[in-house]
Amino acid sequence: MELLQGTLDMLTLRTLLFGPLHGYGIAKAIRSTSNEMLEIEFGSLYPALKRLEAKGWIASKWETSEHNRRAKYYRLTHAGRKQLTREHSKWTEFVDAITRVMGNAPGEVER
Amino acid sequence: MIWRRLKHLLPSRRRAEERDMQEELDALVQIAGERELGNLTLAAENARETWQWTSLDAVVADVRYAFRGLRKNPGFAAVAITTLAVGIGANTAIFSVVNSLFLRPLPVQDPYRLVVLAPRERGSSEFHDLSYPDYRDYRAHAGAFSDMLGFAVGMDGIAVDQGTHQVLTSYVTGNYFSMLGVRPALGRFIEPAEAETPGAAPVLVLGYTCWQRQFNSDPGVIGKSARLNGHAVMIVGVAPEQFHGTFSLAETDAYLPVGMLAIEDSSFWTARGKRELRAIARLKPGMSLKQGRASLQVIARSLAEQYPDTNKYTSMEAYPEWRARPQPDSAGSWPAMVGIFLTLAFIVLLVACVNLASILRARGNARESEMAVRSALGAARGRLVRQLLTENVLLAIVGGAAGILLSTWISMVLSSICTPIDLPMVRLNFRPDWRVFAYAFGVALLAGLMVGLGPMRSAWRSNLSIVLHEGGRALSGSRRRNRRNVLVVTQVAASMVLLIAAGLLVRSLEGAQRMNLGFDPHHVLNLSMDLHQIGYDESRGKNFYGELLARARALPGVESAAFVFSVPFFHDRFLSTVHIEGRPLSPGAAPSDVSYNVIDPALFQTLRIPILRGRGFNEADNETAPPVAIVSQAMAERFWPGQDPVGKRFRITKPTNPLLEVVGVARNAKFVRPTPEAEPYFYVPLSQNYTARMTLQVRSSRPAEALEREVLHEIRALAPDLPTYDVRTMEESLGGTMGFFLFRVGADLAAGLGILALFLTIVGVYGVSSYAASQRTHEIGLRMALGATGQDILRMVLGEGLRLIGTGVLIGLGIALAVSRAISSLLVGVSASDPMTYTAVSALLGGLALVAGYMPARRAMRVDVMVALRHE
Repeated sequence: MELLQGTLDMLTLRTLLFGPLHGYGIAKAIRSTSNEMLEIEFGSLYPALKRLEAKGWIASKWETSEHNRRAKYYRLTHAGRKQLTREHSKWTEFVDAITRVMGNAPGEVER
Repeated sequence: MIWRRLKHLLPSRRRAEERDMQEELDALVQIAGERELGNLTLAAENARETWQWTSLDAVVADVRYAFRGLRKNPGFAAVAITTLAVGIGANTAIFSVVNSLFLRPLPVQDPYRLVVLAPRERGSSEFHDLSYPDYRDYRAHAGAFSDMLGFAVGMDGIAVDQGTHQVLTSYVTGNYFSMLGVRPALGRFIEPAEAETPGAAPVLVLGYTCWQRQFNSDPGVIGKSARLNGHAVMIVGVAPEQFHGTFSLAETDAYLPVGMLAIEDSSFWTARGKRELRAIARLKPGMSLKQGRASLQVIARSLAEQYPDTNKYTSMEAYPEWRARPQPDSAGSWPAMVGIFLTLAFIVLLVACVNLASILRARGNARESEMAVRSALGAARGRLVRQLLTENVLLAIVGGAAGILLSTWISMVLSSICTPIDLPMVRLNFRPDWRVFAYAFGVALLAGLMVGLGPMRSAWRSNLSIVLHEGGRALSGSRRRNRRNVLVVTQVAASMVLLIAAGLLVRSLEGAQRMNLGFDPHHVLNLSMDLHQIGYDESRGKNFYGELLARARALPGVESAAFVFSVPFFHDRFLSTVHIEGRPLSPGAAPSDVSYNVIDPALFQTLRIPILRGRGFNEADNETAPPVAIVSQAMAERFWPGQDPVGKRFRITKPTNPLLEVVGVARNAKFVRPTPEAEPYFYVPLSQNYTARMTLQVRSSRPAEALEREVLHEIRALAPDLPTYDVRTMEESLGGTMGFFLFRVGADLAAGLGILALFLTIVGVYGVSSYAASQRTHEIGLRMALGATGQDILRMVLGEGLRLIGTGVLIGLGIALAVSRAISSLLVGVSASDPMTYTAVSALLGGLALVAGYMPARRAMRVDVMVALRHE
């Protein structure tokens, strides 16, 4: 399933709420959390990470992974946490609004 | 946050960032494998993009890249920058002239609310000045204005310790300095009571430059007494350095109370016929020029009712101060001329840009592959276009900077071209200010865009597969060739238009100079003097004139000598309404204005103007004899058509003035302006119309320098203090502001621009042809292998060039024919569709362009078949 435009940043921030991850780890986490429904292109995720970092919502640090491999780990900053809250409430409103417009599936529309 | 962005600007920081990113991606490949991660180059490029796009770094990176590109191709850079500099420099120089003449505001408080009053007699196209009582009425009653100043400009003699210098003076009203809001550099200004009270002790304020030049910036001049035209005045102050007076173009040397104009003739205060002042008013806040005009017109109407003798036909207009330089001009001929020359300069820029576009096109060959490779590696199209844009803008800015340098040099040349011989005090300050820089910057950006549009468009559209697969040869496709052809045609056509305009203006100068002037300007020397400046009264003046004439005529080799008020094309002249005896004006009709001259009887011999009927002036026409006049043929035909004008009588200025009797008719001579049609003109004798400022004209076959020395010696013997000015031959004097000056300036400027455009076009055609020929080496080789001879190849290549140049010439001819009407107001003695100019310019440009195209074609003809076929 393709990602809805503009949701990647939000998904990334939400994923990092559980703790620091490296770039590939974030992609894997989103994929598994969504029951393999969401396909994350690393080519889009990586620039998004750089963008979020430039905005100060996430921070990065070189660390050693569980398999004793070095990787750059990203974690949520304080500002990022606040941003996530904002995005979350915006997203809820958005879903509510869309649901209200779409209503039931077309087959069940009353005559 | 900002710091986080700004730090990307540091190159070291950027390198570290880049290294870090590579390490991070490498590490992830170790963890996940390359397949899992997909196109990492694209990811990196996009990541770079995000941090660059959000920071200034992108610009810096592009600029650095562009600089490197220029440094790597110094030849290309030099040609490109020079070409742009020529185009931008020419435009900036012309603009700086416009700026200094019309755009730079007076250095006074709120200069844009100043309005110049422009009174005019019905039926006359020229504005005149205001009398003092009229000025008082306008000042008191014009409700749209907060204040109104009056000033009169004069050339006067000032003597401080010894020796008299001629200076440019302004006689100003008491509110002059306070209304303008300027502060004295030293001492004080003229008080209202000093300026407009009859009999007040005269004071003088020096202009800053005059104070520097003639008084060595001595602060001790304050309180010193001086003599102005023989009257004692006290120096009380010095005007500030930036302020040059309100008589634009010239720098006022001394400011005096307007009341000094009344010293010799107290009717100045009351006579409405004595029009000597120019008035500038300041609009009240919130008032528009239209409202200002309306409030002035109301007063003009009421004055016309109250004072019908003098004001009956006077109407009033008003112009913003910058539109009235050096004086109000209803025809708007200055703006027209300015527009024409800015347009001509713009054509040079266009030609330069086309040249550069051609060069870039040739260079684009290599760039095209670079762009394709970068694009294939995942760079966004926007990124590539931005890179190209940056390169062109950088080129334009460097070219623009070089252009500004060049323009200061061109301006120097221009200011020597543009300083008229008869008004040397004219102050042409082409020093660039922010307006000039802004214009140059705008022109440079425009040039960058014009040049960059083509390559940017192709980068946007670039079709990767074609470029990558077919390599360089794909570039000689027909679409590409078409675009190149468009460039050549544009360039030739634009140059045609410019060269035709230049040709017409040069022909017009010739036409003006070839014109039958009606007098003989050769072997005549002029020397001007103003007896006022040494305080001579009428009787001393008359003695002096008689004595000097006798001495001048006695000099060896002198054929004839005479005094005249206006030498031909002099910047000053008498102009008066004419009332014919026994022919009252029909109601509502305004009397005609006719120019006239005050002369010594011998002037007709000195300038060799024949008397066709009646007689010339003679000794008998003195103060006590009845007043007489000699009219020109044109005046005779205008006022007495089909009759003998000799014996007819007329009045000037007022219907109540004494009658002048016409005693002779002189052949038409052009005294006012070198226009083809003869204007009515008449002469009155100096003996009956004493004038203190006169020019001595001496006809002699001897060299002017020797004669000049001797005449000056005689003047000094008679009046040691008398300054002389405008000492030059009559032929030189014809080049003055009212004479051939504008024709010459127009021809010089246009010819200069035309030569630039011609040069650029030839270089451009040569470059394009060479490039085209080199691109087609392969094709030419093929043709020759298939049996074409060198002649065939030459014919083919040359034929193509001929077609292109011919098209350009034809299009240029068409455009020129359509737009040349715009300059017809500047043309004398040549029509705007002069066939000779059009033919000559077509032949010149077409011929040179063909030669420029022929040389590469010849090279193509000699191509070695084997080499050509192997050429890739």
